[in-house]
Amino acid sequence: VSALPAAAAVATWHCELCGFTYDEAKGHTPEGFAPGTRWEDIPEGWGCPDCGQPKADFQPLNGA
Amino acid sequence: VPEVSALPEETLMTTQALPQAEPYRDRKRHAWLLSVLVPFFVGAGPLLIEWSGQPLWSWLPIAFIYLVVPMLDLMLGEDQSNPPESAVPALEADRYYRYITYAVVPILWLVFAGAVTYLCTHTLPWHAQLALVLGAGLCGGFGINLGHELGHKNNALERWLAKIALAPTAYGHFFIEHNRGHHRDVATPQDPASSRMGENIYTFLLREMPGGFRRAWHLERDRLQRTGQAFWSLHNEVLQPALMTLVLWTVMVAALGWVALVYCVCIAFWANFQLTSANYIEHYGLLRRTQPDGRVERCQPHHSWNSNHIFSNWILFHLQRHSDHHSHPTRRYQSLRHFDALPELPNGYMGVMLVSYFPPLWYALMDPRLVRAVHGDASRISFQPGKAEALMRRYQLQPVNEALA
Repeated sequence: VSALPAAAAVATWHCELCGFTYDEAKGHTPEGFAPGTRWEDIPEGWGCPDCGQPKADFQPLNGA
Repeated sequence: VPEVSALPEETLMTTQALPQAEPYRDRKRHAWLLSVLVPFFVGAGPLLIEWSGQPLWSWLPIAFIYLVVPMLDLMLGEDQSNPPESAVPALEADRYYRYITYAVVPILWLVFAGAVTYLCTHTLPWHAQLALVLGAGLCGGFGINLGHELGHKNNALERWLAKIALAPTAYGHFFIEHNRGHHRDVATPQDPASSRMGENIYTFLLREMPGGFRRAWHLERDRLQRTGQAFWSLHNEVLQPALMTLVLWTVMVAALGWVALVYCVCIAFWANFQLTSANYIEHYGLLRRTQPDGRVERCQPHHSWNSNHIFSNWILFHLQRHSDHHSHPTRRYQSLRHFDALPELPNGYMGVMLVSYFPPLWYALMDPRLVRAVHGDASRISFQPGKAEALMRRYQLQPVNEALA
């Protein structure tokens, strides 16, 4: 991952509390996010489906 | 404690080269079977009456929960042992612990249907009827505890088992509202499942039960809007367990008459009131503060009350190690840990819940503990509206700060 150019978009975000991961490539159908749905297109009011943490508390998994 | 990754490489290698320490042995491994046996026992009132021929024996499970369990907690004391972090992956992967939770599910359905059937088909004195309703309700309370443990897992089997566990007592919406609502809003005045200082349990009940239901309804409505699925469909995870409830209760009424519905409702109420009681004591008065940026601080271990009392933890799948649960919501019960210097309850849940049913006793027991837990800082207390001034005077608390410094 570290070999990727710095400009590579962050594609995976994870909930720091419970470890739930959101991969933009895969989306998350049960939450209504089709594959390819970008993180910024996920509503601000959305929370982790496993533990309710707000979107703002998610951290990028790669590219950080 | 330094993070392992921060250690120099040689240190790690030296550690690995050392002879293997004794492998971790979970001393509670077999004790968790009590989490299966006790729900069965509290729901076994009809069997006790049949075996003894004495309706009064139906009170044995009730006495066990409210007298014997708090006594055992006092006598056996606390257990502060934790599994080492290195043993946690193996503990979590060990399916034995899961099978124990699965085994409780049929017991919940048997006890519920058995109690309603027995009550409808036997002439019993009023006190035995009451005891059977309370016993089956307490069993349903253990069912909510089980639904809680299973509903936090992110695989389809355990989530379905959670819905099945919660269905007899008509509380399937709980796992939606709890995971995505309570865990988000915990220890804020907005959370219908966190009680405030000066709020008695009966006032709390009127806020908690309807508030939890509304929150589940809204959360599920929002999710289905995102997925583009119809609200009134089988995709709705609030309606799925509600349909199971409808089928079970309809069968009961069809087979036993309308009186069965009265028993179903009463048993379900007492079961769901066990959750109300747990919610009442788990965060009483504790407040997450608002930061200067307007956001509420993250849930910290000191935002939950804990109990390390051995016996009640054995029968409640470690629910009482509540701080670790809120810090690691998907962590399985066998791996939950104790931490020092956290808000501690003076007994296990059964004993403390019993006290909560007598508000003056509850305030006398818990208000001073709450003040100590927050070091007298009123900005860390969630007050019942209208009670703040009197409580602050009484406990000589400093005025509430505008925001977290």
